[in-house]
Amino acid sequence: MQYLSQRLAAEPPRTRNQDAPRGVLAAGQRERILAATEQLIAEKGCAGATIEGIVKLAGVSSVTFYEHFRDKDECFVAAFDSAVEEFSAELRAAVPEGGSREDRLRSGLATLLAAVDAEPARARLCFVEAQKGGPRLRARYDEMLDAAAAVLDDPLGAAIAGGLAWLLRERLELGGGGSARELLPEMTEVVLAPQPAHG
Amino acid sequence: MAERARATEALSAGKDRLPPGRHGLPREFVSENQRQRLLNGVVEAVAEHGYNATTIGKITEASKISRRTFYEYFEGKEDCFLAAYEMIDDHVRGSMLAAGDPAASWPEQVRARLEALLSVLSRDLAVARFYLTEPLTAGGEIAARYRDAMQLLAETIRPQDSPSDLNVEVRDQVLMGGIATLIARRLKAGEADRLGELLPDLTELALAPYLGRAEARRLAQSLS
Repeated sequence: MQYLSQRLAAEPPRTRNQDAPRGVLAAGQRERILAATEQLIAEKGCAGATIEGIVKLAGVSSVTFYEHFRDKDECFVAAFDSAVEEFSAELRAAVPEGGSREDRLRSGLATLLAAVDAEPARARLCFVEAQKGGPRLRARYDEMLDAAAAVLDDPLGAAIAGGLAWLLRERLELGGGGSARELLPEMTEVVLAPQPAHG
Repeated sequence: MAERARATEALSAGKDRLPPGRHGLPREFVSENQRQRLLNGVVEAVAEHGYNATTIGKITEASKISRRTFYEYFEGKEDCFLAAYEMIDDHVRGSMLAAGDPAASWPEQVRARLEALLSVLSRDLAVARFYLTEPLTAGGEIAARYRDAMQLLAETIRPQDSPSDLNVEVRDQVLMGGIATLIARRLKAGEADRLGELLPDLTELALAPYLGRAEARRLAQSLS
């Protein structure tokens, strides 16, 4: 036990709210912690986001934090997983099940870039800061790229997914005021790899 | 902490160190020798611990040089990292530029230069990690330096007469991201010695934006 708050968290929780079932309360707290983590990592990076800062932003106690997460690392991974799942859910909702590979990839890219613009902190966590985190977070980032590569359904899928993530990272990190959506024509070109025009 | 410092000092008195005092070696030689060892030490330390967890203590431990001597050459970790990065980058890009026949076609040159890149990196896992994967985990000046290095690498394999209406910078970024991703996977799997197997894929990636996928693949397979 490194911190007193960790030790306290190990004790059985007391019932604090008669009206709300414990599970609902806990789920709300967990969501708040994950949202705060996302925001803080986007602002300060993984090295700058502290548990102290997270609990303050989430409006929970550090005891509550340790009821949900063993340590900072576990919380970061959970925030990353949740962020990736949010993006995935948007993609699942927007991209038609049937349709050609080209249609699905076009709509998938457009949806992803719009989501990145709509949720800059979430995008920053997924595409910029996760690569600078600890080994577990970096492993999760690699898994996200693997999943993207599988969707691309291309012998060079791993390289193409890596290239697109690279491009997105550059845009998010260097900014230049441009939106991610501006990258759509280039990304579509890369993914669909058209033959050069003749004549 | 004091014990740790003493341990580091004891290590630094090991056999690898030049004998203190009057060893008859020119001052410049001693100085260059110490600096080179520190550069080697930062590569070892970063490859083993990652950039963020690397401390000056770990660098001096790996190079068997005292902390005080470290500060004679470098202001801090970042400074030392950048000096080593500069040296490796010159070597990698120099090897790429020297590769291949200048009179050969562009696809042949691309293939030769990528082969040189893979060959340099496959010789030394620590150097490869230090050069290509670890800077991604750092920020600030190191990330900026890495960005420049990757951009310059991309330029060595770009066609000279690339059409001006294309967003070449975006193509370069996607290409370097793709190349770095494939190489990083092999390094993570501890397969630095098998990097050469990536040559057809990397060649196809580099040619595709300008020749189309089908032609790029055909050339990548036939040249390899």
